[in-house]
Amino acid sequence: MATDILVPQLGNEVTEAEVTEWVAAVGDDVSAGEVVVVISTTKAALEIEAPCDGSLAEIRIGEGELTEVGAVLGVIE
Amino acid sequence: MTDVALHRLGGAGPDVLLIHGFGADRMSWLAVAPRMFDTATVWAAEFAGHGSAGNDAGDGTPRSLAAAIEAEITARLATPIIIGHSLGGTLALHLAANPTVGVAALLLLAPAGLAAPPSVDFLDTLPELDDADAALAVLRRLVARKTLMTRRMAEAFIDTLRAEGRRAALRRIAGALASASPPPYPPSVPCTVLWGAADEIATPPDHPLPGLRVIENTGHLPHIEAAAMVIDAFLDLRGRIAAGS
Repeated sequence: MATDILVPQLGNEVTEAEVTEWVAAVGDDVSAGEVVVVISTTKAALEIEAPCDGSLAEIRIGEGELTEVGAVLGVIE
Repeated sequence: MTDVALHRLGGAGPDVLLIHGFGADRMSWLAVAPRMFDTATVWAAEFAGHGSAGNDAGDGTPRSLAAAIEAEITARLATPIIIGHSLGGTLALHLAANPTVGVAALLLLAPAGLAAPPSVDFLDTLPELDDADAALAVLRRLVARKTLMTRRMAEAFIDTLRAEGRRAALRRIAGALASASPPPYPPSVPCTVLWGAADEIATPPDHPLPGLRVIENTGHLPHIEAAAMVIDAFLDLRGRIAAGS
């Protein structure tokens, strides 16, 4: 079963963020709650945790790319 | 009265007030504020020289900055939990010491002046930064995991310093903070203190402190590097208030 890693709600004033760093690589086993990717605005960084146990199957938004709230950053299977 | 701005960030429920640290603003709460929206009405104060507040910092003392916040929240917030970072933690302690504010509880993140004095070098350097490379080096002192600070952030910070009167306001606040008396502590309300073990700006206390929890692999920004722990501590305080302790 595939589970998306989503850009979370960032508040009323923030609609986009940059993917700063993928801590996990495609193929890595990850555990729920483990930081897998870091996104940032011009003001602060946000570490995003894996929503479930599994393997990082896909990275959809690469480092340095801008993305929006609700977008799929990657997929865990 | 010094300048101040109060923003309602979102959410519904009992009031929570966030107060940033020196050089930051309401956007620094990105990793924690939205996670409180389900259970709280989340507000953020910005004191003089920061964010959307004006640059009249008065004498720049924590007491003056706290008085301006008090005037802004009175009649708008009811018995708030205050979460304060660094200088914001100091201001939170001043607010809690004033019974007319009616603070319900405090969550302090590396509060300035409670242990060793904050880094004078950091306070003196920040207002004078004028290029992104130097700004990035300073910002990276704030965190244990250096990649959390980016060049975009450094460039944006330099931009904020270009506003007329901003550097002067920061210098005034920095000077007053460096010579300020310790804030009133412990408070008479429930209080938790979170501090990064790797904090380079305000090193954790080396003596027992009521309510203190030291977080490994974390620098001066627990709300960035240990956001889940900040949320857990907030929920714990909420539970203690509900239980009447």
